[in-house]
Amino acid sequence: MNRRDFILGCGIGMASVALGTWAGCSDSDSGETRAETLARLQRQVREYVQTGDLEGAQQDLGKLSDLAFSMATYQSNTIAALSCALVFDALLENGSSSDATAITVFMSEHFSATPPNERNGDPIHNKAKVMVASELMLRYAALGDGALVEEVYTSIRELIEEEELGPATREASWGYMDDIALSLYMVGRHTEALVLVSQIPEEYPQRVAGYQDLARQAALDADLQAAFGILDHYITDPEDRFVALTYFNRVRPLIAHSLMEAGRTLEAIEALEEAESTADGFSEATLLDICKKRNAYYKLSGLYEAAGDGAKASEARDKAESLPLGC
Amino acid sequence: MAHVVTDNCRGCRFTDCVMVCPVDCFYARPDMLVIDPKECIDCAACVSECPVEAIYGDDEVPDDQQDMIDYNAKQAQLLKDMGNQPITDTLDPLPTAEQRKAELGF
Repeated sequence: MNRRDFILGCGIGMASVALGTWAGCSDSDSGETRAETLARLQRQVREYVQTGDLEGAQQDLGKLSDLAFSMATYQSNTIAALSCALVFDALLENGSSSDATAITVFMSEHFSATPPNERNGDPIHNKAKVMVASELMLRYAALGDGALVEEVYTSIRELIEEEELGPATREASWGYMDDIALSLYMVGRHTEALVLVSQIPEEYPQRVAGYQDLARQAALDADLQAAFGILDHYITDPEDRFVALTYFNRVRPLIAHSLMEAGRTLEAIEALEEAESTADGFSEATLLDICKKRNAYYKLSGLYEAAGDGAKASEARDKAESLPLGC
Repeated sequence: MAHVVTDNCRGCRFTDCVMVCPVDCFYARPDMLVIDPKECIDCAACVSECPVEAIYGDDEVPDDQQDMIDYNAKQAQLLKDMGNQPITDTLDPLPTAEQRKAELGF
């Protein structure tokens, strides 16, 4: 399916009208700059997704995509590709895998169209292009399409190996290697994924994050023992292990949180028990250590509560409150 | 539309977010990071990287942090006017980072 077919096909009769209107719209007509229009469409797509209006989201995505191509900047193509990813995720969650697959056509074209990042008009590296590629890989992996995952992965390798911008692209793109490794893992290339994460320099947080994400995926794909195996082998810091077993922040669920989201409550509680055992081993040598241990127990208490185990939630809270304040 | 670094970053400045920003829109103050709203493309990639949940979309900033929207814009412009470049690589967290993180409950 090409882009035009998609636009005409995605909007329940309105898309072609919308497209025609859009094609005739100039900056002077709307009073907006093209960048402002792009930002507005980006916001509208997100709002449609948040309210569950995926037809509206797809219509505006078509307009956004056309504008992004015409602007032809690394920013416009990155915005368009990431908006595609947002709609893709919503469609897939909604069970519309054929529509989601069609969205990847747009994403792939925006990947191809993303030029190098610039500074003062000079190309400096392909960081944005690698980011778009990593997001595209994740969507192909979500569809289980190993061949397309490999195709994009090959393109990324070419970007970081090319003579001119390759070295700078490699250095600028470590932050995306955890997601790229996750895509490989999702299509069964477990060893390659682990090797790729091991290549992320230790000073970058994405190295630990990469192992945490692979452990989470192992728990979702297989079982907790597979996840624990990754943690035992690759994560040595007890705090990093605790985070892997619970969640990192409000938008990055890890093992227990993800299992709960998947409705696998018993396994989630088993992961929380492992996390509790890890927290029990936290140092109490300094006031800061004690503060961290209290925080860990409070975090556990909240998660046990969310998993419906009030008794364990209460026990974890008691453990927290039995410790001195610390900070 | 842009993302905004809120007060949780003050005293931490972990910079985990910098590596994933595709447009290099983070600037470093001595005490925290700020985002230049003129450069930010609202991709949200930085949000999942912050260990102290300091980053929000400007339409999601908590009520008691609304002033940080203007603060990010003004401070980023000030740093640019002073000749600062965006930061493009991780920096060591501030010496107070671990203490501040624990105090914030993370």
